Amino acid sequence: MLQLNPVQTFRDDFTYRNSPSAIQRFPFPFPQDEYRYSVNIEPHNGGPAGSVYEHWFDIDEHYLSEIRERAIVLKQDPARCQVRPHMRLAAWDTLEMLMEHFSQDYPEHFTLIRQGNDWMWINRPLEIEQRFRFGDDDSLPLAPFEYITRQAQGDWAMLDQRDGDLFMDGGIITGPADWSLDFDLGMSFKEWHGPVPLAHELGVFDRALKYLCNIQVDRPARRLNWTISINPLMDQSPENYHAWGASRATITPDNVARKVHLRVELQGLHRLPRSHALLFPIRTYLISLQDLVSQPGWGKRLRRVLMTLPPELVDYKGLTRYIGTIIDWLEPWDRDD
Amino acid sequence: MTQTRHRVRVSAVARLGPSIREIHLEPLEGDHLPAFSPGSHVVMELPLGEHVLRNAYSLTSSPFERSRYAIAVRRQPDSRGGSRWIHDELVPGRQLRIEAPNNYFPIRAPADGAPLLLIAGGIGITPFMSLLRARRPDSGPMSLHYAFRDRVDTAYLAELKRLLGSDLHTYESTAGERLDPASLLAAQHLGTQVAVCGPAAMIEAVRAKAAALGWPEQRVLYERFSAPAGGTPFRVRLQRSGRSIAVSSEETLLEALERAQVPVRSLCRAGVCGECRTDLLGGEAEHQDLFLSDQEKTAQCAVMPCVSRACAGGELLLDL
Amino acid sequence: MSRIFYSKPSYSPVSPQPHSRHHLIIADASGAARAAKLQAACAGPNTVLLIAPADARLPEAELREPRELADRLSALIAQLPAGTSCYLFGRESFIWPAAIRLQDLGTARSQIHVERCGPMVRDVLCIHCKTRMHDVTDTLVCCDGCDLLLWNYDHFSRRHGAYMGFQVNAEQADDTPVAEALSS
Ligand code: FES
Repeated sequence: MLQLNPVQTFRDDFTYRNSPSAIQRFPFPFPQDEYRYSVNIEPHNGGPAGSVYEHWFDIDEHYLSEIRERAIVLKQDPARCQVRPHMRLAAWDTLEMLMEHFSQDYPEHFTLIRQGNDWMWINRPLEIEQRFRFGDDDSLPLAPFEYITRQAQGDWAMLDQRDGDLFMDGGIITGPADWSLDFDLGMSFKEWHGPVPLAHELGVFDRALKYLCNIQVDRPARRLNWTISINPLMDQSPENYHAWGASRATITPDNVARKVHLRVELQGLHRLPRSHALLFPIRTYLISLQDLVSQPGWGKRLRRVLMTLPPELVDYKGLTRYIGTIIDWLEPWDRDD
Repeated sequence: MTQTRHRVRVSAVARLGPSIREIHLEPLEGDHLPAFSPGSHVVMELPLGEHVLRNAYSLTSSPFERSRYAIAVRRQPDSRGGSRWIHDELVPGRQLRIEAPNNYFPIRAPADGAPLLLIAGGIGITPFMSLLRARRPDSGPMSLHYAFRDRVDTAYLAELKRLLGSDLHTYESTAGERLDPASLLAAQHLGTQVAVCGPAAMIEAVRAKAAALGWPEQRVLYERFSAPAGGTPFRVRLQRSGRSIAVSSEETLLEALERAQVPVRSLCRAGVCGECRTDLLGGEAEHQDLFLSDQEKTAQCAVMPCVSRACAGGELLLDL
Repeated sequence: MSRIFYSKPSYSPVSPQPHSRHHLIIADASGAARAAKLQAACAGPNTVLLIAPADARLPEAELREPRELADRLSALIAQLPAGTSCYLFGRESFIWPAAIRLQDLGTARSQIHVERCGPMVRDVLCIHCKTRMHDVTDTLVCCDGCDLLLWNYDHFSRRHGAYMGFQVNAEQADDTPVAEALSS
């Protein structure tokens, strides 16, 4: 049974910590000892028990902390959750998909009872018991998309599919790695991938787009993405860059192990069944360097990847000021003995 | 391709006309079938004697109904036996397996409130039924132009009249009525989406007229079933191990290689990611992937076994 | 910075589309001259909306206030034939929100042709306080709302008709590039 930690913080005093089991299940994203670009999309049909891939939507010990962090961000900036009007059906699709999977996969925490369109949703960790009518916006205290994603870890976007393209037409983005929903809302697939480093091969986006447009109901896909964060800063948004940007200039050999975090996104792509839109969950995992090196081989591999990272990507991921400090600190784990 | 399969029971067989049946399917496990979007089809496994036929049928029930699916099947004189089996053998209570719905014909207006013009020929009405059965007062404007041979053997006429009222226009060819795509398309306004399903000639006529009238390509949607996983059987020879493997009509080349325990890396199994790329040393492949460049495809130097097969009657020689 | 900005529009001169049943031409003051030229080149029926004071080069144009444009487009959509081509001329902050409006009404992207006209200026949206700066000419701009010095980033939102501005020296206060005139 999944144990939930008491609330920790992703801001100010940064009390966020990973337990030993969270460290073990961390989705370490590097399959080899060097940086290599690949379209790493694969079917998302389960994984080993206890791993982050076991269920469609992973819930872990940080559930309560992330829910609280989301509420703080939304209070400061309601524009972090926006849904364009034509996505109403997709929003209900999302609510249904999340409630079905949460209640199936974590029955100790969530229950869904359905009688026709009369539904009852029970979320025990958040002490919620809500009766509503499926499809009736007025029967919920919030619009359906915001209602359910405020009870879910990770960021969520809804991509409308029309004319052979995907459009960023809704989302709740309170823990982004450097992108803004308010700015990108309505953009097409290539537009919201706007600023990409040249290291990516041209044509990658056309292929990915074709693949995504052909994702079918019940056959989701996933990929991992990674970057580096200073502090376990969930809200690494452009909106607040003026507030957190300076932290990138604070890394020293003394604090690198505690402050620098590998940030991994488990991105899913799920066909929403009635609207034919795609649901795009972006689930973020953060691990400090000192926790990361506790796993055999990880310190060496991260070091090798950083050493072979093309300069465009170093710049794109915002690592320029401190990548050298990380590489130096990891050196003891990269010795052949 | 790994597909989620669902076991279903035939709950009713309704006669829609002398040669058309509507089949209702209920889930055997649980009380919900997967939700779907208008234009979706399911692949149904038909146990025809020795072998299993996998046929795709449009779902005609409302996407908001999850306790059952409906499909409609016309008896085809020249079929592989599937429609005959359904008409003659399939009775309520029979258990079948279906795959989760796929949608390669997502019928929708391009924007809220934009008009949808549906054109159906004969049994081509089926993919539109789920959309029409879920129509609500606040759905955008929608009209259906339905052409068929004769009224008697035509599916859903009475129901469509009830659902659509004056938005239904019928064309009965035996009564000399003809659907004229040119005048129909010329009367439509900016933002209209056309969706057409019917005989190939009808689809071609609509596409050609639309192009001549300056319609953008994306505003003409037409039904195009994806080929099921299999195809024509062929053989593949492996250069390094000297083995020869038969690929049956029910499986992909990748599946056949996996069955023979030849390791091939794969990720998407849909011809996109590039992971399963295998060098082709001989033979001509019928390329179905989105990964190889046009030059590579013409040069026949590589093949994506997750989706591509040998050209009819051919054999492939792989660097494995 | 070596990046590809797929969101940054690129332009090539627009010409009348051959198979169109109708030509819908929309321009602001800076696009009026190009609109007049295109109208002259159009063989078939056309409609011109000018979101600017009267212009002698477009005597037949319908004159509209900026705030009337959205409603006028919804009304026009229901009158023009499906095979209409739409042409938009003017500043980026004008043509792109209008193009998005047309798409939101069901027009396909391939039916919409845009051409940027007028001086090399941008609208910049401060990502921190959401203040909009008009007619920015340089790679750096000081935000009218929060006073931060913003980098005029090549990431463009068609819906906003604006580029993203973010604090240029957020990581280190004294690390500020020199402002340059915009070249595209
Ligand atoms: S497995 Fe991805 S292209 Fe074949």
